Amino acid sequence: MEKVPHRYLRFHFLTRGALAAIPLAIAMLASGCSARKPSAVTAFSPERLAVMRAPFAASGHYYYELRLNEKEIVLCHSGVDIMHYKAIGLSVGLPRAVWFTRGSYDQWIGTAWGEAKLDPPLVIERVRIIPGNQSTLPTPDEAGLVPPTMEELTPVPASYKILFPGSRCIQVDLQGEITGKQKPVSRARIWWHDFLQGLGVRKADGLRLRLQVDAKSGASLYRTFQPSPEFLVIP
Amino acid sequence: MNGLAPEPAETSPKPRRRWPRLLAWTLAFLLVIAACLAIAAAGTGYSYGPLSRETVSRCVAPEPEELRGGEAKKAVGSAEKVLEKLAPKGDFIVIDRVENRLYLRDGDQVLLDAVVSAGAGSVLDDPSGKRKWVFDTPVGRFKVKGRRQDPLWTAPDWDYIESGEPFPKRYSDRTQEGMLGEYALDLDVPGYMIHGTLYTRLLGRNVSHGCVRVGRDDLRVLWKKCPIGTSVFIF
Repeated sequence: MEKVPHRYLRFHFLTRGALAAIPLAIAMLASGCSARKPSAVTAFSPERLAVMRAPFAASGHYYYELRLNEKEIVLCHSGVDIMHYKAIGLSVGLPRAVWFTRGSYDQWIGTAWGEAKLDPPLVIERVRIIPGNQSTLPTPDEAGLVPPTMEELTPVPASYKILFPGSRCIQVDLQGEITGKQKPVSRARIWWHDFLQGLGVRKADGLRLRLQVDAKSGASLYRTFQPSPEFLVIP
Repeated sequence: MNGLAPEPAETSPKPRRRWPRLLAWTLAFLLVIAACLAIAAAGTGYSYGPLSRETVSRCVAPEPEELRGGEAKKAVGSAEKVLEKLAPKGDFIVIDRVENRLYLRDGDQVLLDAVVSAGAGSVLDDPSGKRKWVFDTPVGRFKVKGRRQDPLWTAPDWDYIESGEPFPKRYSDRTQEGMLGEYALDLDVPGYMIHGTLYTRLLGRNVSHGCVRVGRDDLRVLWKKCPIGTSVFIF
């Protein structure tokens, strides 16, 4: 029998090992990164929806409904759908450290999430009028100094969070070009923040919903965000 | 001399240089460490997954107590009554003050989509230091409280302060014709209305002092379709 050189055997073993590790690594990465298409969620009965909606409708304030099946956030008032913000993608996240997921889902569907806050907070860069400066005032024939639009006064980040007490969070990622003013966002900083939360160095979101929204809808949601609104999460 | 050639002098073996191998091993070790850290970092942060049926079944809150037991029918009936009472009767107006759009709606059907001018969001300080105005369009649910044809505009104090003119001595000198266009729909929040404008070139921009300015043709439609009591949602 021909003797196989020792060195060849070692090379062969290493090659096979490396080749086997590649699909394993890809599978591990894919399991953490991919957002597969969510399957339909069981709908609530109209009776249950009516009972849930009535107190919010009667509050006299704007509130939001997060409709999981439709993948959208809807601004509502008095039980009326005022504006729909459609999402392209929706996924649910839990903190994890070195591929080990921490925490578990609590009963968050069919409940109200209150006192929502934007992160980063909404800032309107207001213009101060100089009294008596006639040259800036418009006339029916002359535009004068045209004031900036709300889109130009309200910078929007490409990714923002809606935070709720009880460490729940909705992360809104904007896809596409934002019209108007943008708030610069460092992706590295977001990653680092998530990394520290995953490790447990910083307080993590117990539950994070990630919505991918087209830039127009996402910016509109941010700019018209109501103060401390309630979110009704329904299937 | 014995006739033999002299033996060559014995040379000591050349010392093998160890540092290249050591360096290679160190580099390999560092690479392995870096790869491990990268894999660990990639798996730290948040793990996202689809909203599957299994997740939903675990996360749906139990039915509210009102819906269990004998009182369920009563609770549903009262909730439906609340929603029905709050729903706008007939056509209603929705105004997006950031996008400067006005929608006349009948339920979910949009009857009119108009470009308007909402509040500029600018700030004016009274030189006396006693008063301050923020020119925002109010947010919430309102009603059309009054309707006026060929309305007169009574200029408030801020108009004179903004233009640097002295206040008129008589109150009647404050009234101006034509500034509000053909019609005005007064809202049930004092001082705010939906009206026409001379500054049609500025429609689509935030230029008003809080009122909602509408183009002539769109205003005519609103005049026809919006009686007193029409609901107006501004967000």
